[in-house]
Amino acid sequence: MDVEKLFVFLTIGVSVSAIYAVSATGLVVTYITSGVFNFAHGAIGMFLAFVYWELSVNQGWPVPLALAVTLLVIAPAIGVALDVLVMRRLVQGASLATKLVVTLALLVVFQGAVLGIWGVELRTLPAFLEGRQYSLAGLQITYHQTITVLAALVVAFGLRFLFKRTRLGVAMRAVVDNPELCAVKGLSPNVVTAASWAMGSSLAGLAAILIAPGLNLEVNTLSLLVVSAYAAAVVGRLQSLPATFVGALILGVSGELVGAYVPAGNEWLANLRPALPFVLLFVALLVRSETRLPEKLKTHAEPAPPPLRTGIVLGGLAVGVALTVSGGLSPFQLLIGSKGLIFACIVLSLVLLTGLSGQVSLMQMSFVGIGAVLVGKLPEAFPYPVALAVAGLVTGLVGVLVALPAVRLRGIYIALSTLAFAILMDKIVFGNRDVLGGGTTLAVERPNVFGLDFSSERALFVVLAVVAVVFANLFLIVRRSRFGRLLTAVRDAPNACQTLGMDVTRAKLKVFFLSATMAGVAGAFFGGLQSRVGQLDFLYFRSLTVLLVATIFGITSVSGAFLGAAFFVVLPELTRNADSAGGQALQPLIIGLLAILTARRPEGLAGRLRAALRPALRRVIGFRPVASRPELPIELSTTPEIDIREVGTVGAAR
Amino acid sequence: MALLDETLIETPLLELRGVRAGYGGVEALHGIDLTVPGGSMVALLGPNGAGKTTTLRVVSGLVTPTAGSVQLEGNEVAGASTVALARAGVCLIPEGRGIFPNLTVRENLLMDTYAAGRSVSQVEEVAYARFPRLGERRGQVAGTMSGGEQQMLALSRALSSDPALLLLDELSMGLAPLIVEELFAVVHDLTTTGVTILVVEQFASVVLDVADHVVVMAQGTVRLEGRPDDVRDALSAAYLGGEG
Repeated sequence: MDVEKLFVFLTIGVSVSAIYAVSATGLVVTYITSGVFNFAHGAIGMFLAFVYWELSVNQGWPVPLALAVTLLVIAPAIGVALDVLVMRRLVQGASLATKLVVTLALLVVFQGAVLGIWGVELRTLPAFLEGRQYSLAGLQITYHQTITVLAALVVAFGLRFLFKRTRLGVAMRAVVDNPELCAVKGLSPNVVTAASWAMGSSLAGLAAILIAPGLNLEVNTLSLLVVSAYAAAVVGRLQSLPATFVGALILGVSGELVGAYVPAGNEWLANLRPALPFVLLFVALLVRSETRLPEKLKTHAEPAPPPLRTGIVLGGLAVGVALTVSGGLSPFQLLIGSKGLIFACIVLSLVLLTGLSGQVSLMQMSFVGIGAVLVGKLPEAFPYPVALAVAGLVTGLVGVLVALPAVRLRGIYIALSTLAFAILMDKIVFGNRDVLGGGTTLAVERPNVFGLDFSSERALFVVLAVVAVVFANLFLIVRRSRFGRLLTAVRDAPNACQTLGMDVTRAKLKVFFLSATMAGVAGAFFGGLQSRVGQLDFLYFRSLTVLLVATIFGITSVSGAFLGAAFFVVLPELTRNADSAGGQALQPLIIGLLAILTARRPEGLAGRLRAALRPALRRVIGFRPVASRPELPIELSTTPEIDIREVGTVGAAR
Repeated sequence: MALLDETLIETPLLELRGVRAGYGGVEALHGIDLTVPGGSMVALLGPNGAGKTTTLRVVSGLVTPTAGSVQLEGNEVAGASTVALARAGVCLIPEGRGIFPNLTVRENLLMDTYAAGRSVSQVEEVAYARFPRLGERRGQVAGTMSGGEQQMLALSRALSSDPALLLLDELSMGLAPLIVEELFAVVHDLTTTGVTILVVEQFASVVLDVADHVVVMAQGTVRLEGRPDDVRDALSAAYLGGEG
């Protein structure tokens, strides 16, 4: 083995590790003090790297000044603003799903903001002391690498000093222990969390500025770098900073070594290197187990499911309407309608998974992609219904496999492993020419059952209406069933379920299977509708959009799914007329901001609409929908310090 | 006793009038009247679920009352923030252990400096002088100490911060009688320095000997009040058999 080559890559690996460590540290600091795992961490760093580019390159400021203004003024300001405007108001006492959705929405908003401000053209950020290097023990080391490693060391020792030696640092640890006691002792926990968001934001920015010169200054690459930071943070169990540094070192060095020694030429292996952080995140999830943290009780206001008969009658009516109306629609309109119906099916799979059982999937579009690819790859000899069934079942099994390592851990890990898997699928399957049959897209057939051809736009539209109605009723049947009640119980009080002897893990896996199956079947039709599918259709980013739109309109109900679907197909038409860069930015900004505004209430806009319509319906036709559960204020049981003895006597009377 | 001093009765240090409060729509206090004269020690007794802790949480700003007034030295403080009240001299030692379990003893005392307005070395000096055992364990993680030591650490705040009003919630909970005696000896010393104390206890015998005035609560209302000797006999009836 060539020792010199090994050392060259080790040097690069160490400096890359340093960057991961800086980013992961920021993530962990905000997570432990505020309890929010910030999926927007990378996007915030990306935004700050653009700000730094603007100041140092575009405006020509001296590097130290641009750096100081970006990291010591703008970054903390963004962090504090996020804490005050978003996190503090929306997130305290909120469910995991709400917290995740809010930070995912922020990710989308920051990406939209960068596109809106700086557009899509490629930029490069010069390294510190560009081109200058020195030689140490025969190795050529650049000043940028040296600065990077020094920065990581300063961050490591600086944080150690902060947390051990300063009052603010000790207060940050105290807030983790007991925020209420901090207030009782005259120290506002809000001040402490604001400080931690400011720090987290600065560290995100520093990491992005350090790594940007090695890549292009580009929205997606920089936002995703943070996944390596996630992996490092998971090695540190999201709390230990030294272990996080070790995780970063493993990641950075192994990434470079794989890059150096894996032979080129093989499509699968070539894709392995960019996928490595996600593989390692997965491994870290498998290896690191932890005890379950005490969880707070949650309540959701959700409509009581209508009886099966109502569901079937309404569904039948809907299919009838689809059949009649479709006669007068143009092929383009039918295409839009079919897209909406497929989207409704995908959202319904999320309503089941996230709304009913409280688990967050960031790879729903990957399930869709697996379904589509399976139907496309299965030999012609398979009749369509068989292909459809295979697509659904295999996707379901993939769902179980993804959930398996994380399902026994805290919900945040399921979100992380689904995100890791989504990006993994993107890199090694959907972007792989071997899978796509040599081209960049794969042809997928349309339904054809026992000689009946459903491939016309109109026939497909009607078939999709039937599928959507079946999915909606399937969800309602699950929710009314014993299994559905178990899922609700698992969502609201997992620990209580375990003490009652319920198999929480199995219930979670079962619902993952169901949800992935639904998404896979939807994917089979999605492929048919598009005729060809490719990498762009199943980007992780699309899974985020699906989750955000579902949340905006109500992730607990069928009506929310259909409203979300309508919004999803209408929004691109609405933003079409804006100029190109602005239009690209507008869509994520609208979705992200709406999601932040509505995340607090899981019943979403559909829930508000139902509440608004109920009295009107009653007045006009004397229609009395099934009484919904009493609208408990969400805060009721989320107040962690409720003294059970105090409420016990009153609550018992109910 | 100071309790009978006319001027002190006219401007009580703490006065609650018709206070109602609850959690998420479930009312726990149904109109509480309570007067704590300056320099006195008032004991709040009652069975489980009487609303004692909620009353302390209202006074310390952790729970905002839905009705009624809370006055500190004649100033309305209902709805004031916990942080502001703490800095104004309201010192709550909460139920359970009022410590940060993952911080060391010294770091816990550092957190006391926010309200005390003293340096950490001064706070440490006061605490270690009164509880030498804490001095021996200054570098130990607080959560690994015994329950009694943890409670000493929590109570240290009352010693170093010169509180205007000390709120003690179930100081004796889960502790051995000897430790409880030691802790209440400290509380008794505090009363002689002029600190006003409102103490909540589920088990009356601990405080009947040291309190100036006793208020008995049950199911969110004040059932009975008076001097310890007057209340002693009626107490078991108020507890509804809760304490034979």
